[in-house]
Amino acid sequence: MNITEYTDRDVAVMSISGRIDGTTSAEAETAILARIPSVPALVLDLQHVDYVSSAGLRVVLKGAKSARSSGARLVLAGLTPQVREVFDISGFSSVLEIHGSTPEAIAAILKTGGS
Amino acid sequence: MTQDRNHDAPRRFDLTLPAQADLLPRVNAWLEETGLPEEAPQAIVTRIELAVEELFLNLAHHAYAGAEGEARLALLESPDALTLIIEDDGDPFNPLDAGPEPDLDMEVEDRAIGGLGLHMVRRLSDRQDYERDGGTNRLTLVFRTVEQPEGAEDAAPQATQQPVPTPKRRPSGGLHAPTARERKGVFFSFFLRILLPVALIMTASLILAAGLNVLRLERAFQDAAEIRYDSVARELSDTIESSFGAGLSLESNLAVQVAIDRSAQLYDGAIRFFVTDPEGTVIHASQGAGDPPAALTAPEGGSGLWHALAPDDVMTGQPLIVQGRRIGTLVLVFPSQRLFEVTAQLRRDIASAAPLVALISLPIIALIALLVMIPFDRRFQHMADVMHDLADGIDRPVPQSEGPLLRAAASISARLRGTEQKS
Repeated sequence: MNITEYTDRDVAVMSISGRIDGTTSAEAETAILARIPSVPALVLDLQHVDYVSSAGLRVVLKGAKSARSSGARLVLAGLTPQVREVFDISGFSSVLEIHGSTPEAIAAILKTGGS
Repeated sequence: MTQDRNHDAPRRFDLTLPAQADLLPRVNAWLEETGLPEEAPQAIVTRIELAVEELFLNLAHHAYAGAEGEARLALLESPDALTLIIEDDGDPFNPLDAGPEPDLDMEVEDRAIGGLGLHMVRRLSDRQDYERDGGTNRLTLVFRTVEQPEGAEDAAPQATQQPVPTPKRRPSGGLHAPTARERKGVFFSFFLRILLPVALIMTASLILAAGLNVLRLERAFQDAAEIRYDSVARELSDTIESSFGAGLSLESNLAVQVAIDRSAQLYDGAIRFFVTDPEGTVIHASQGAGDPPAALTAPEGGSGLWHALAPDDVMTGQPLIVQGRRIGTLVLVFPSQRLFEVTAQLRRDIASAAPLVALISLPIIALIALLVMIPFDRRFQHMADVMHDLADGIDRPVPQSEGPLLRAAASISARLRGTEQKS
């Protein structure tokens, strides 16, 4: 698993590639929880993630809770079909903000205000 | 780990390792080594990966309550499914009914972290079986790799230690609306088995009846001819007997000649007559009589007048008795060609008309039967469709105009609907 962070039009993007499973979830969790308190919004770019287990879902859930408590916004983008299926059957799709691609997610954040 | 690369037999891959969460990479490596990730559809592979991880970690965390133990994984490949079997020797634990389904509609903050993995396992596999076998928990998950028609649930391969690929069941017949082909089949088998034989029998009866009437007519003609010729035979035999009694020769008897001349005018032609001795030998024949048309013997036991039919003639026989002694037989041969020509012609007519009658009456009878049958067929078909649709759970309106019963049912249901809307 690799994590790349960058900013596009003042919106923070965290691009993850590889697998978010029981082995790598701790690393992802540390990165996400470290980033959220310092930004008004964070886009999690998952287009290069081909596998998410319940451990990965827990990371996203913790990130969403953390964002809620700090008044930030966590947005997911670019889910592959098999990852989308995991989000769907766990019910996460209905409680998280998910966009088709990173540019779409950034556009949505810019349109409605970052905070 | 064993590998069997024979593609015809079901393949099986095994992994046994200590139940420790930090060995997850080894489990993932094993899964990759099976080679299935490259062969099976991506979505299925992801689901299996997920199930392996969730179950292995769950087992590592909970099965042995902190003590050391073993986890055994097996992946079986059959033609239409991949089967995952996970075993441990820990406390009895059925992951399939572990706790309630997590409430998926809760807000983010309220969501409990945990319980998710097993929920996903239950949702991602097509079939799940748990069994406690001695001291072993065994969970079997089946992932179909081939789309199966709905309702073919049982066709999923039975996950056993030595799985045998189950032959694919063809889609079950069950209740279904008959296809157009089946309808035609029923219709034509009815046509062939019932309508056609009936038409054939009716046509044959027509022709037979005509033939029978001709036979009767012929018989009637014959009776008429016999009655007609009897008097002539008696008159002639009397004359002949008296001339014999007087010792005269037949040729010199004028009365005989007169009778023959008269018959030529009365009947179709001149009567020919033969006189035979008691043994049946001709001792006298009328002029130009030629050969007798048939044997001139009386039917057995005949002591009086007798009649016989030759192809073109009617023969009437009369015993000649002089002074109480039978001296011979008088046989009169009446040309009856014209009389029997009529019935012969009728017979020929019937024979030649029979094919034509069959040709015309067969299709007509069949057509009439078909015309009678089609409306019945339609109504039965419609009712059958309705019943089949009911069985399939489809609502099809029953035609409301057909019959008083259906009309009554329709009006009742309409009234019920009306009261429902009001209340």
